[in-house]
Amino acid sequence: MTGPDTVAGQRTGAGTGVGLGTGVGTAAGLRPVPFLRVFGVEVRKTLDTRSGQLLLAGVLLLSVLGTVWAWIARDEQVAVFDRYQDATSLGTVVVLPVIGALAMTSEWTQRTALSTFTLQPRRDRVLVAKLLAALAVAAVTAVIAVGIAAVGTLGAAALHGIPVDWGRPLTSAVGMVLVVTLNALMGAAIGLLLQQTAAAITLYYAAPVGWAATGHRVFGEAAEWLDVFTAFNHVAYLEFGGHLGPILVALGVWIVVPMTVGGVRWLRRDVPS
Amino acid sequence: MIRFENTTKRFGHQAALTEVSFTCDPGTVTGFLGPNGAGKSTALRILAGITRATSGTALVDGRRYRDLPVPGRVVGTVLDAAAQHPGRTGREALRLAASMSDLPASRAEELLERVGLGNAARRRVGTYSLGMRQRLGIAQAMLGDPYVLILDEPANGLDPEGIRWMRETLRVFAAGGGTVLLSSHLLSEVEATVDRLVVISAGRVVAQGELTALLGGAGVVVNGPDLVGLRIALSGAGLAVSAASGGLRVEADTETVGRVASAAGQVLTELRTGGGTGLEDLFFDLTSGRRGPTGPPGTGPAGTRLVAARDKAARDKEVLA
Repeated sequence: MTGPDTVAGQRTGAGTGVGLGTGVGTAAGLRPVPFLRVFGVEVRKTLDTRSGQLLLAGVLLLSVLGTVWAWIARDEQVAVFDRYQDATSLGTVVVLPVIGALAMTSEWTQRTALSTFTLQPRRDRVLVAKLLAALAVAAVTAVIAVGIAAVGTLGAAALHGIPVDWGRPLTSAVGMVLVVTLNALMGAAIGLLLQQTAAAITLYYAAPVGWAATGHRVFGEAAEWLDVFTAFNHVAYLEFGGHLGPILVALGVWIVVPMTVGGVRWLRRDVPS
Repeated sequence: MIRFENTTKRFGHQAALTEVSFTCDPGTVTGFLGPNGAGKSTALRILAGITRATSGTALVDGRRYRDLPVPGRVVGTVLDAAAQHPGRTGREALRLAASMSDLPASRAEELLERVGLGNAARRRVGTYSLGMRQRLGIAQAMLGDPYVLILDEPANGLDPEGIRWMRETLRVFAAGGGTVLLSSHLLSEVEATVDRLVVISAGRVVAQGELTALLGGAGVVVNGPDLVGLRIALSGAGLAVSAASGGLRVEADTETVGRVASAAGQVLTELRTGGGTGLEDLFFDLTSGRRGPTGPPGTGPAGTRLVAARDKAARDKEVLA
């Protein structure tokens, strides 16, 4: 992602393109930066800071540790793929949403919004690029985690000399990637709503847990309509039959609503000094 | 070129900017001068499109900032040198910026060398001094070879060598036809760098014009071995002369005084504008409580001086707010 050696949109004025600037030129003939480039920059931003690198390393490390722990601690007769998926999901489901939230908050918390929006004043493009970047990073990491789970399953079979039960591997893998991506998207939505890192991460972990703990007591079965964890569970096993309504409502409330409210604020907000 | 047209910004009921209007032309460095809290940063942020004006417009090259297709190729901005991610290296920060303007990564390396950060490129910005961040900011602003520069307090954190470097950089930029708008509360820095001044106080433009005209209003100081003869010659030429410590004070520009002295065969040992003190007086007169920003223009001591300056520099179109 180091950029091409050609420069798109050559200016028609006398700018030399070298040196500290001759100060002469014209905006005529310049074309907007392609969206793919904006997207590439946002992907790069999630990976090029120490915090981003530590978080991603943490995700993979937790997945590997979960797998090794499963090898050591479990007294298995059969190596079940789904159980290794659970073992690796600790890292992806818990940590990747933080990467999603950071993607939406760090520009404001680290004050880089100043550079970002002066270089790309079309905030809508930056926002869409950031969301897609967070989703892409989450999805790719989830795919790697699924790979670790598969290796874990085969490793257990080899270590303990037991047979493998893949179950429905494709459903399991797709469900896991979907859930991890949705979790990251929810992290991003809450980050977008609050635009402050610490507050977003706190709300992300506290609010759905709070609802899951208290909602059922107050609203009984109806609480399912707002229980995002139940919705994620259905998605994980691709069980949409009969649950589609509650799933969509829960995802709408926990993802679409904060994303919409936060998005409007993102587009209009003055960059603080 | 840069143009503010009746730019007004309110935070709630508080007015940060009131009907700010001025223009910066290609080939000039304009100093945006005012005390802290006068609204300089707010105005520059509105110009750069990161703060919304309540009313009025601010244009770069005839367009609103957000309508520029690739802003980094038209205008370079350093609004807050400290606003860099501390976890990124200087090189990474510039590469990201280059990428955002669709420029090659090699451009980042080039600018790192140019601003003297080549050796620090691999260090994280969190370890940079404020002066190094200013250089990084300038490098980022210059990446796209722009023809307009907007700098908020660019001298902040720079050592004397850095200030000199900044001054040279801006002069070369303007000499090549570029437009520079820089804010400062450091009078001496502004005086040595800018061609024009826009003075702001409590959100209103209280004076603007050519630096020489504003300074000229404070008169020039002239000295020579024959002060009596010199005084007669200057008075004879219709200039207002008064005694001053270390010579005579004349209400004229240096060239006029020099010509009169030359014609009269007078030897000069010193000839200078009112200098820093003149601008400093002007600045404090305009921005301190001695003359409220809402008072009628041209009534305070500085206002009088400004009117005098305007009359003398009739070619200028400076406006008293």
